[in-house]
Amino acid sequence: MTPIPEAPRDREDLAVVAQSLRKSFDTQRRRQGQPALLAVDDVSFAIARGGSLGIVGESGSGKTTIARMLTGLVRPSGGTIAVAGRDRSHPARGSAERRRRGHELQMVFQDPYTSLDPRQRVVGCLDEALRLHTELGSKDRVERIRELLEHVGLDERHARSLPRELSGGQRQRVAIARALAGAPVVIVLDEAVSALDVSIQAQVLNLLNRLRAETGVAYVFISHNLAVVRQVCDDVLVLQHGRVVESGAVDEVLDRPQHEYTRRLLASIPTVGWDPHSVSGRADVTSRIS
Amino acid sequence: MSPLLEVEHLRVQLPVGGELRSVIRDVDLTLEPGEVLAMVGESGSGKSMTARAIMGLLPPGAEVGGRIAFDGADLSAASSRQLRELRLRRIGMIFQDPRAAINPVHRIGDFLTEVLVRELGVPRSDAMKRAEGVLQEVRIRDPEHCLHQYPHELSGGMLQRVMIAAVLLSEPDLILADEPTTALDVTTQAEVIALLSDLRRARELAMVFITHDLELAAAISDRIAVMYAGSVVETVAAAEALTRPLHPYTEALLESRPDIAVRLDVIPQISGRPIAAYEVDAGCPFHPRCRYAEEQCSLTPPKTALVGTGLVMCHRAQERLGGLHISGEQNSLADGLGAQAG
Repeated sequence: MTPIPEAPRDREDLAVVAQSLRKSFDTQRRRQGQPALLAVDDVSFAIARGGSLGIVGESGSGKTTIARMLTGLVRPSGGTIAVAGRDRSHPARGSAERRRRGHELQMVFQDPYTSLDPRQRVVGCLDEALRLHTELGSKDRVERIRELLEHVGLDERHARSLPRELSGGQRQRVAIARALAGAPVVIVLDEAVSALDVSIQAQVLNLLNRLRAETGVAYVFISHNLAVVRQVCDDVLVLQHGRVVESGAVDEVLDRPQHEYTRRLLASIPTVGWDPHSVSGRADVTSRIS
Repeated sequence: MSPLLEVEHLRVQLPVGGELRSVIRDVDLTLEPGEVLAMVGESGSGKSMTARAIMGLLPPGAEVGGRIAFDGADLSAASSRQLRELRLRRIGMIFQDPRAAINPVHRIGDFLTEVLVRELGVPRSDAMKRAEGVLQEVRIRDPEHCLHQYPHELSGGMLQRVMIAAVLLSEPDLILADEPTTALDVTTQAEVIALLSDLRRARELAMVFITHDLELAAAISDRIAVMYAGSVVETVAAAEALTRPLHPYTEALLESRPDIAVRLDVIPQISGRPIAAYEVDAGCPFHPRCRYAEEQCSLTPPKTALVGTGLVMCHRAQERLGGLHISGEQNSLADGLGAQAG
């Protein structure tokens, strides 16, 4: 696990540093006289350049809220975030700053059906990202688009397609190419392979591993699937109810889980000879949502 | 004992933009009373459509061929009223998203008792008692409280239990469960699977369990039918499917699943993408992606035959049983890596 530095600012060698991140969603619950909901509670991590951190947990564990805070879609209630040594805990001042943040950190979502513009051809989608995030002239952009498509295993024919003419796996490749366009420091992948068929999932996981090795981009890989995290991450955080219950190198955590919750997650994965009754410490068999 | 469910040469075509497109090409299935059959496949393989054909719930304009018999009665000859009666009393269905299947403005108690009271003429207070009983059976801790709750007050896992309870109320012989745990968290999935396997034993239920997860299928079922492009390519005892897959597609599916135990530099992947039933041309539907494909595989469609203990639709199944899959041919998979787009 990459150690968390004392002073994340100016640590350009680290792709992401998050310190004591907190997010409470309180307005409605306060009105009803309930305590605020702490979606993310004191979460800290650091990712080296070219590193890959998995964040795992079940629904409601806060993993997507962390992704949204990293991208700036949700403002943290407390704590700091730095990307490539530059603080981004506060809203961007001015469009140049906003663009730079977008350029440094990109996102790939679960469902490429909804994250791509249905009326925009693949080539237009990539060109837009390049115009936004690079200074390239039109000739260079054409060259770069060809390179990006080749990177993700698509060809000229796909470039002229609309999203609806592509399969789910091809669409996710387009989303990855778009994220790579501006050569970001880090890509946040939120359940990016969860909606794909098994045979396609393996292709995209191999692609992600190859791209990280080739480009040195770092990943924040958010997933509920520990087997997938094992394949693409160096380190992992296990979240439960917004708190980190266990963290460390992926092999360490998955081979020698220390926390009971991690063990339960691992025991829940169907394998040869799996018995679902073995999953101990049943979650909440009450009829109320906590 | 005669089979509870028999599906023979099922073919289904759906109208798409003025033409009929094949979604199920030729499906044969049998299910004994009390047996659990898992249907495994990727999206578009036809597993859900098979379930809908059994229920008589195909979209309008669907062309159906072949024969479906339930408890000896031919369903293709049944009137819509008879089918309705069947769905009411003998075949229950559980879907992936309980939130889409349960009316959000009714309390759980009203949802559970609706069919009993309105269709079967059970007095309301008796119906409520029975509803409380089945909620207990699906291990909801405070069933009386649950009856008065609205669907939005329950988590996805709890709501899926309510859905199972609703199905149990009609005391069916057969449950069709279409990806019932796909939308749930893994720990919740384990609980629901444990519940379903306890229930099937206690109530001697037959079940068709549809999933894309081979290992989950093996945990819940007695037999597994693997579907690809609208055909069943392999039917085999659950334990065999994981340890000795005979169809190359089953084998490749198992290998390409991310391994929880080890990190691989390159995960074995199936090149290309799964095709739809209407895209199948001459030969075996899987041959363009198959590492064992020979000339005949692209020319003639393979017939389903008994190989070892399973039914397999593959020209080379007999050779593969002889140990072909441990020969040097595995290398061809690694060679093809990375070159293909999904």
